[in-house]
Amino acid sequence: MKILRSFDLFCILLCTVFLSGCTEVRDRAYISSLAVHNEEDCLGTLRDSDNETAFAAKADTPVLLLDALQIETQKVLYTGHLSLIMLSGDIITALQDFLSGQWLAPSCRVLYTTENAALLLAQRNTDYAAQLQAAVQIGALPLRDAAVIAGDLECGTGLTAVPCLQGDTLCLSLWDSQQQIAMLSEAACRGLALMGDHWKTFRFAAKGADGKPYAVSVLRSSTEISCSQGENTLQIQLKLHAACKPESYEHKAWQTAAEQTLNAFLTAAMQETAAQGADLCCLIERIARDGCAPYTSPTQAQWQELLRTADYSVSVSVEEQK
Amino acid sequence: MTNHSTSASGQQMTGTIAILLLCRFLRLICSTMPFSTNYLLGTLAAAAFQTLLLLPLMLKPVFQLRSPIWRWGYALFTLVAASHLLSRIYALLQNLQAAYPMASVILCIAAAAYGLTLSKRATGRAAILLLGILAAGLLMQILSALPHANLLLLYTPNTAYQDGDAFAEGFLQGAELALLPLCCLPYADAVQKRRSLMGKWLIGQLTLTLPVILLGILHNSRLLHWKGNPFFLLLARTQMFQAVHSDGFWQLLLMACSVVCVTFFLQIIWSPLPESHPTPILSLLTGALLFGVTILFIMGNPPMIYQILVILLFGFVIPLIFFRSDKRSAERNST
Repeated sequence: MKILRSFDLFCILLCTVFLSGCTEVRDRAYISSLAVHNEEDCLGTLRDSDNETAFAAKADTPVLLLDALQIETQKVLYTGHLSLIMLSGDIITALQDFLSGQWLAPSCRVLYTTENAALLLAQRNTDYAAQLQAAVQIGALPLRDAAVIAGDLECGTGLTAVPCLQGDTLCLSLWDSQQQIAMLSEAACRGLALMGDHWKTFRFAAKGADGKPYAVSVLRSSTEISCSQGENTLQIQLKLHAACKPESYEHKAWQTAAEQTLNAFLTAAMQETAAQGADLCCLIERIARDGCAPYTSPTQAQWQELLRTADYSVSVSVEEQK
Repeated sequence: MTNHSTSASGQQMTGTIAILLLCRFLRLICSTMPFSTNYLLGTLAAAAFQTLLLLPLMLKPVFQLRSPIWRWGYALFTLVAASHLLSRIYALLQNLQAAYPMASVILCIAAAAYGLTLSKRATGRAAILLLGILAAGLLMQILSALPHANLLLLYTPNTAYQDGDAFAEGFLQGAELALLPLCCLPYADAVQKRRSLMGKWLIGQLTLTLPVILLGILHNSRLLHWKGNPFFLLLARTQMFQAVHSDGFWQLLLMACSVVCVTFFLQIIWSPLPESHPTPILSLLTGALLFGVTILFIMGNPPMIYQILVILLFGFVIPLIFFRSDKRSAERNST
């Protein structure tokens, strides 16, 4: 009987040898970055995990493009480790197709390029995902991954901001579900990054009375947004409190200059996003919580209109941190 | 002697609660409904429903459901619960693009069947261990998720059309397992024990599920219509402790938890039945079946109906090997 039991156990253990799944590793292409140029024809390039080899293909739609790339690589595509998707052309459709087909991990970085993304990735072996990460860490850009962008489109106001590569500069591009609306200024990007609070270091140049710039570091900050219903429009007040440290104490009025610069960042962020109907910092949640919305359950168009017609005021207080 | 038996009974009780909590947690993790405020409310409503349902059933002696028909009822309930759990695990593995999800499920059943050769106390001890690991992992996850949690996301609008679904899913998850503690009655006879079991079950499941759901809401980035797994979305959105951040850690942990839970379910199913010595034919048949079907799954992906058939075959046939017939045992004892 012991022998028979051992036989059963042997069978179970033998199964584990076959079920390890290790053989499949060689048949899978682990993609690290994918570029899609989505216009009349859909062009795509992918780089595998070693970031050395690029494969390119062409198809009618973004999802069919993945099949075409699969033929090109002669392997099953695995997008679980995809860290960057670069898009050009009709980027929102492509993004939604990939997300609904569960081809994209929610933490995947998204980058819009004004040039043909597929060609760009094929030609350059640059780690754009690392560049985006660095930009978020120094407070040049807010964190905008696939989950955030899709969330804005689905349950936000329907407008979103996508990180953009324009030439060699990283910035943000404002999109609705069909087209690009505007490019955001550097100040607006910095303001959004400051409010997003995903930065590790945040240094900026404040101009002194003599017009010379000097560096100031924000050590920590907190943003308070409050809403109230005015006579005709919604009033949105933004208050930023920042603990800062100047690089040198030569300039006595550094605090005033820092306040002015930070105020300019936040004002630009509000004017270029919220005043256009885009909500990138949970304004609609704040309005819903405070019961300031004039409608019972506003549609995305009504939210956009509400934000466009709202009055915004920004105030910044800077405290010296030694 | 009395102290020893009291300590053993207490350990068994803790093990039972640990298994129940693992089942509840697995049910939560395997759901693809995005975490939302309504989902949270549904979970709370389910806890209230469980309390109302279990209070009279567990505390009043008049409701001691000990007749054979109830035992068959328990067996049927746990069989359905086991099948449901396995199908959820299968769907989760598929959702995560894991390699050979069906084969993993078969392996899970085979391991659970092997677990039947061990005592119920061993299953309980394994569950306590796994619950400890799970709690540690969740604690680290919570600590890493707190710094960037956005409380405003509790108020995300534009979700009206999925409010009812989210509430129903949250409620059904808890309500489905409402009767599970009843199946553990053979372990806990005294009213005091049953009261303790119920209290710990209710508090434990809220402690396990509510922080996960709440943090999921605070990190979902308004992604309330996403088809993926919300727990793994939470993992993706929080990045501090790499060991816990890894999908692999949670996948392995979930597989281990499901093995223990299915073993527990099978133990409940087979506990009223007499024990049996495996006959050589049954042993060979099951071993060959296990091996053959596994090879079949390795060769290709058969239709779902065959996969379910295989699950049922394993569920019913394998335990036969490991249990001893009371007749045979009696015969052996007498000889």
